[in-house]
Amino acid sequence: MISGVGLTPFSRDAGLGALDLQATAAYQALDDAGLLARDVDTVIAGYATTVNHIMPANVLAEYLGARPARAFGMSVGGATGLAMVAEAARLMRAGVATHVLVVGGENRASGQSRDQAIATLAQVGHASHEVVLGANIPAYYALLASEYLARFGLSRADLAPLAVQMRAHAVSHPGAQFRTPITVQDVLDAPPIAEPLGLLDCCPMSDGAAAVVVSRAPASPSGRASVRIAGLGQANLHQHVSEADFGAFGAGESSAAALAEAGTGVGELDILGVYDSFTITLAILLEEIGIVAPGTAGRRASEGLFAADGRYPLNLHGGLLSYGHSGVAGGMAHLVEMVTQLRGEAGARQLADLPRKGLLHADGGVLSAHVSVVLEGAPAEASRGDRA
Amino acid sequence: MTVDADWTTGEPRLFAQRCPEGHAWYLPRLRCPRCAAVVSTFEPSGCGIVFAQTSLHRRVAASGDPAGPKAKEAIGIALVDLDEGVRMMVRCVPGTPVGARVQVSIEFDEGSQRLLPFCAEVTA
Repeated sequence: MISGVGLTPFSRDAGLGALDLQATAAYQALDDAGLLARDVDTVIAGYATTVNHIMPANVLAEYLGARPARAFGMSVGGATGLAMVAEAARLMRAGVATHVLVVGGENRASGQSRDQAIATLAQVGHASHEVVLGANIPAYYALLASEYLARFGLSRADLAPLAVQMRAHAVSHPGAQFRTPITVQDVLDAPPIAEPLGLLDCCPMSDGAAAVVVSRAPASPSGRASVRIAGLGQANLHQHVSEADFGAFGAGESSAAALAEAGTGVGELDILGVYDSFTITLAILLEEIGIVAPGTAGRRASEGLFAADGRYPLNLHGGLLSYGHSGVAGGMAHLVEMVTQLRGEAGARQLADLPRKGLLHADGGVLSAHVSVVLEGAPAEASRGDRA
Repeated sequence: MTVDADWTTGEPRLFAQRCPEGHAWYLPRLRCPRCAAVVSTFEPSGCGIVFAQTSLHRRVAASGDPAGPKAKEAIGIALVDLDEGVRMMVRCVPGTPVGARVQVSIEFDEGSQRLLPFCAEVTA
């Protein structure tokens, strides 16, 4: 189960270094779980591009005063957060661990120059056959978008509603980096980055951190809803866009495995948290997972399918596109928001009908590494009588 | 120069790989990624079709000094499906349409001061 979550605001400059950011989120998650750092027997930490330490989990464990039996880092790009949670869940299932602290965070925006960050991230491409051409992350995803729009006979305007919806969600989250509403026209008028993607089709770079505590059982009776990890799925079918199968990047395989393990299907999901580094990322993932038909994600967004009162409320914190993207933490923010919603603790953002089941999906690289997690909320005993 | 020297190591040649089972691919390996057979290197014709394309807008040093003032430029990047059945990433004229018939050749790029694969549209 997930016993604690923590998420800092995302911003252009948090005024903290990577380790302080990670610790801020970790303390929040430990407090939320009712645990001290020394109660944790495993610490898993994601890479930070501004630190590039070879032992990220050990550094954080020492800082927190944890003395875990297991400490290790992980590095699968944007999928790192959910991949760490998946390993934490497997340690639980194996009976090896009792409380696992999972953390990601860095000062990605303020801790390096914009050009440095772009150059670092571009390395997910092939060093001698792709990166040397001057390609970078927006270019790799723009290639996906180019092929997608051509295949379905669509235009940029057909992806823009996804960015508009993410911004509409972020407006009501005080921690979001961008909270001014935007329109489809704003997205179309934004400066081109890698055509067909413009500035508002792309997530920003942010400072921020997120943390999760995965436990076998709550530290103490809390009288609150519990959130269970009901299904896991992963797929890693390629690394480089040059070798990707544009008909099946891996999200379908990964999400199908997670849903099967949870004994459920997309029709039973109440809430979604899907990686949205670019509008095209979100479109392809939603379509491969089977939430919407191929070529229709943008249109369905414009119809309100992913709004708070839509059939599939999606990324209610604003996603990477508007809450922000701080590397590993960016992909964990979706999880923190979903846990908060499943517990009924999201305040002004809380869905009118308490969601019971949700699917998280993240990708790393160029739709290269995929991780899917099904979460199930169970209302606390005390509040069960209030529900039909 | 080794036998495998191509544009990535400064020789104006384009290489791809294949195995005796008929599998072909572009990113270099010691063995076939599908059947682990020993590979052979071949020179594709460079003829192919644009599979995907982007015009990438980027900031570059205006005067050659990396720390100096920046200017904006657009470069074209495409994935091209070569007739030999391999897909490769190349430079192109920004705006080259998906589906265009192209010829890939190795040319010297002033910006990066190295050889790069470029594609140009060919008329049918």
